[in-house]
Amino acid sequence: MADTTSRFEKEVNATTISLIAFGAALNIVVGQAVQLIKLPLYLDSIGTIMIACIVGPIAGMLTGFFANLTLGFFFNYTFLFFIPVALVIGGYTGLIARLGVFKRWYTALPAGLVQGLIAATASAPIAAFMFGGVTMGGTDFLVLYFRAIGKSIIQSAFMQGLAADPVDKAVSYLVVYFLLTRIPRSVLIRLPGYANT
Amino acid sequence: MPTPDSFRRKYNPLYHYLLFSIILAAFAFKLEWQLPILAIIVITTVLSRHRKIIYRGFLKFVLPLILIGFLINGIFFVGRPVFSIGPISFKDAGILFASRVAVRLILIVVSVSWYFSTVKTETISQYLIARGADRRLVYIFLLSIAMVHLMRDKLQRVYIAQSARGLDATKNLASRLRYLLPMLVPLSYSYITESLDRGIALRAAHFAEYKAARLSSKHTKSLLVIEETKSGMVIGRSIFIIVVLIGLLRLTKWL
Repeated sequence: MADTTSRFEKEVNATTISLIAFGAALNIVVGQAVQLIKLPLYLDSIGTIMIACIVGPIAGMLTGFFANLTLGFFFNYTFLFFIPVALVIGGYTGLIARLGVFKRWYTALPAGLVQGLIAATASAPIAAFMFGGVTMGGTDFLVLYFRAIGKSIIQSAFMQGLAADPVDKAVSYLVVYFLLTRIPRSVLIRLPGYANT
Repeated sequence: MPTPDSFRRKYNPLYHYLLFSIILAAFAFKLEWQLPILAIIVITTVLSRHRKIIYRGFLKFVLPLILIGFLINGIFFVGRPVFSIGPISFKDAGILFASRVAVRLILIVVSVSWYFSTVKTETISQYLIARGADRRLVYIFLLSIAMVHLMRDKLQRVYIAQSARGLDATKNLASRLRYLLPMLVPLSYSYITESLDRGIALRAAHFAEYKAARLSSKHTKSLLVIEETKSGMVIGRSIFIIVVLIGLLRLTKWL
């Protein structure tokens, strides 16, 4: 408990709170930018992944939490229900980043694929129980397809997640890797998670 | 501390107790019990002067979700056909499941938007700080809301600048993916440095060392005074306790 408190104090301090807010806003803005350039992906976890990498898992979880909270209150209510998924993404990325996966693109890629599997597993019960498997995403037709071939709601939601999330998260991890390689080391060295990059 | 009226805000706790009660009812109550609550909320919010704000997001995002839910679950559930449209028949189990989901969603979404249409974000944050919430978390919430608008503007400018430099986002998928980095690198770089500089300023102001104290009487922080209405508190708590008791009763029966 004491360790968790000190970790919280370490990751959520005067230096990092603005970064967490930036990450939350980045999630929202990139999600909208992707629609602007018509990419068939969500990429709405880039801010969470970046902050989890350059600050830590608790900061990553907070970034995901506030991004979904802001999105839920001001843009699309459905995001409120996916806060647990955002917490999982932030926590997993923060922990895996310590292993150095963001130092090379070929380690970031599989880590992103695994993240996609975890996100699909975490989001399937929410999508099934809360929305009956429909989330108004572009991949809803997959739910329709899986239901048509006789799968249950939870199976359909999970398989829909499996079809979309691993690719989306793998691309997100790669984008964060390339972003971090293009930011000067003089800036990155000021960040708590510098050793992860 | 006497303050000008412009710094005085009222906060009615009834709204947040109602919000928690309705969310709890959306999960813990039977569908038959949820329907009268739904009717009361819909009538009250439709008559409210905030109805446009409350129902704007609902009509845009939640109603299509509910309709597609009825379509998919109605068609693909196994059960007795209730009605048919051409060759497609809708099953009773699917319609019932979709109804449960729809009622739960409407209850939650309308009560959340009702709450946020009645109280300003700054009032909520000041109220939370005064009640002992960690001001760092309140700061993150407020800053992230402000940053979204600023970043959106900046992204638009970066988009125009990169288009002027010859980047074309209208080609194939690969070129559009390549377009993402030249857009995100300037944005991230400027905001990370800005955030770090803001961190220095906050540290200098001993922001994180401040421990929020729970205030028992008037909620005062800086010049703002948040007044809590006592009647709202009593009515709100009573409703919430009743809902919790009904929820617990259902849980014990279920167990």
